[in-house]
Amino acid sequence: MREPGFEEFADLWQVPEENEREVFEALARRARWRGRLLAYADISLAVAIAATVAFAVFSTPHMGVIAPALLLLALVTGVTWQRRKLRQMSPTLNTDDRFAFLESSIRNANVNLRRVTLSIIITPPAGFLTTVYKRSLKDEHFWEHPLADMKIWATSWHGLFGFTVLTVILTMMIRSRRKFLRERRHLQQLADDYAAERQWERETADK
Amino acid sequence: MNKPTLSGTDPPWEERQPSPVKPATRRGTVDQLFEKVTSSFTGLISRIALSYEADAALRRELIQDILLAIWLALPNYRGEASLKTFVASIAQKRCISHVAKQSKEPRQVELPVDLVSATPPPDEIALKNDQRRRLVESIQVLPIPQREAIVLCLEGFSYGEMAEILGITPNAVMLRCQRAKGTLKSIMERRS
Repeated sequence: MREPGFEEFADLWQVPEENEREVFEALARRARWRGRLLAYADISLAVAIAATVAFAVFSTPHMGVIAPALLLLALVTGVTWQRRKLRQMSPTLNTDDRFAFLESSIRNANVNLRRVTLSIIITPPAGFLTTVYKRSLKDEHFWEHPLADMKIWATSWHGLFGFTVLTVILTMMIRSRRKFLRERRHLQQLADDYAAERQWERETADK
Repeated sequence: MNKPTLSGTDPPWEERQPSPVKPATRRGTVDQLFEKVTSSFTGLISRIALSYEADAALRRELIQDILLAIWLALPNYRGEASLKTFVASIAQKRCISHVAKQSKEPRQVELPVDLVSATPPPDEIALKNDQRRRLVESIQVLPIPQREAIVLCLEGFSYGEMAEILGITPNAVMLRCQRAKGTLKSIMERRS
């Protein structure tokens, strides 16, 4: 068999697949719908917050409410606008530089990793403290025998349900952490690949 | 600017520079541009996705992600580059992010034998199908920097356009394409 040359590769590569257009058009419709939904969700959230603030102002119309309400309205409008701009910018960000793109992706993965690690550390003690607080509100003698009370709660249906929910949440967080670790590793590997490629190109150009 | 492919039929890079257009800030303009993207660049987007994802279901998800990213980015399109370059640039970056998020890279999934056509193939078509399958599989195992260069090369982008998309000089593009072609050929030879 004759090994095809590069022009033949290009011809082979550009052969359209069966049903390509139909599938693509369906995906495009869905993408357009999702894009619009994202924009409407942003606006709806801003309108809902603004309506709540307006309701609060009309219910209690004095300066102590109006001033923070105006501040909040300005903040909501600003944040919504910024979110919209950022969402539009992110796909085109650092288009002309793969290193900058990978660097910002690694930074993003690092931020996600720190956030999820912090959540894993904080969630168990936060869950425990919330339970203690709730128990102490329910039972005014709680602080006389806290351990015994917590032991009873832990073996109750409420306790078992709480532990199950906490375990599920922690498992999901640990999975997310592993995912972000893997993503960061891949991104770093990619950055190394690009660096090696650039090094080879420099060396070849110098020769 | 030279064409990386061998045909030489496309107009020179300078002639293909788009005339500057206003930012597509109005929703109507974005709709029109998106319509143009979906009608003109179906193959380009599908094939860029194919070079990074062999699994058909995941590839559909990836194409949808690319289209969503294009839809969101279109209001920022100012016509400084051609729409094709803009689309290819976003598609490549979405694919790189997709690869980074995947558990394995590259995903090695057997491609269907009827990748080109579902109709019962005569010998010649069967041979072409087999060649295309080998080509796609070989591209999927190329290192990513070379893969994105070779895909743009196969799509007929000029070195100037590729330099814009990849963020390197046209000379570096030329070197990278040459290297990628060599690697691709050796992979294909090993596989045949």
